[in-house]
Amino acid sequence: MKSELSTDREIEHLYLEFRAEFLRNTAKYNLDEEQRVDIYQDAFIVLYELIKTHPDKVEKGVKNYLFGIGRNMILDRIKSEIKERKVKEDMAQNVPIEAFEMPVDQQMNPLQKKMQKGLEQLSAGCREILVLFYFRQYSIAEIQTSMNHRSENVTKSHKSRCLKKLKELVKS
Amino acid sequence: MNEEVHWEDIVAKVFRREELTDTEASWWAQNRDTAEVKEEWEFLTNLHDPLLRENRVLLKKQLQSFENKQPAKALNNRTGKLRSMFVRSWRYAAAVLLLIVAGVLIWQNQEADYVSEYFEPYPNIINPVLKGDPSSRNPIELAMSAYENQEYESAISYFQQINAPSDTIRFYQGNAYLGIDQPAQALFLFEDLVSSSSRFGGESQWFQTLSLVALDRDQEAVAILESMAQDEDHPYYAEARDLLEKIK
Repeated sequence: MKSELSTDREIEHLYLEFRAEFLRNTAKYNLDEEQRVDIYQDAFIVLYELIKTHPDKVEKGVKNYLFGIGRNMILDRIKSEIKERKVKEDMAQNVPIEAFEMPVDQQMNPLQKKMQKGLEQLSAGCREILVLFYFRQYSIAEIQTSMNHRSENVTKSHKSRCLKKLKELVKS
Repeated sequence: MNEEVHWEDIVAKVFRREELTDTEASWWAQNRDTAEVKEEWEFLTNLHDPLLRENRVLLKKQLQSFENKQPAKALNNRTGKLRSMFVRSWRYAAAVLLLIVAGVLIWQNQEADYVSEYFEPYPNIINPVLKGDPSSRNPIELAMSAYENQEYESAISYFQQINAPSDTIRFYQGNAYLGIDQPAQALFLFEDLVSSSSRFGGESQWFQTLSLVALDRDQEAVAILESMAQDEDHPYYAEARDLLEKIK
């Protein structure tokens, strides 16, 4: 399924779409459900970033990637508990580990490091609106709904204020 | 155009790959190479990575909030914790626990009964199931064939392969989700179909209420059922009245 993931509902839909199947398929790994849900969420976040930044890399299909990333994460977790063998066998039969190498964060340049510090000094609401608008590419209407603002104008001016504040923090 | 007020918005629109109006496009063509615009563009480009990291925190919280909406899990966790606490103590507590668990189970079954009692997958009226070589069939035919055979998981995986699925496909996909007890997924599809006035709008409304009941959101279901029960032309008028009487 192709998805732009540009609304909260689309994110929730995709999250729930494969959740039950993932939990069922990973039940054999001797991790409790809470741990498997946690891993599913982390895998979903990686998938989300891939869709947003390198949509071409998800050519094999969203589910393939989600499950591949999830299995890699399970392997990492089980490694620390010395239960690696069964997972490797399983992976050898199903999905090649190499196909789902985890993305590595790029080193940030000095300006980006300043931006990150600036973001840390902003309010949670400011950080959220900047993420939703400039990273997730939500529309103003969607942000208004997501953040329960009174009107689109409130959202627009809030967004502008937050960006201005961030610029000031970066320059200072 | 008032450049002092709007020029950053135009840069943001280009950055977000949004369509520009003619006036905005003309402004962009004239000003894209100015130092001011270049500086803004560089700022937004560099902002990507810090926001990506920020998004991880936000998205994790959001995903955790979806988990809180899972009624069965929350209930199971609560009963599980209760059970371990009581079992470790006295027999009386164990007896009380059994009563509580029995009560919860009876209550759960009653809830589930409404759905299983009233849920009847919508018949396949769009795509007659074909005989012959399955490898030559397209995903719609394969999905509907699985759907008709009540192989809903398999039907859903075929539905997911259909590019730009029509309202009709989404309607049957919603039915398939209900068929495998995934009401949250079903609800997502039916709500969209109801709000978009699709061909199956009325029918979707009925399945929307069943999804809500399955999710223990009875109040919302009742509100919809009440409106359905006032419309004698509604395709599920009789069922709505009947279910409404039982739920209320």
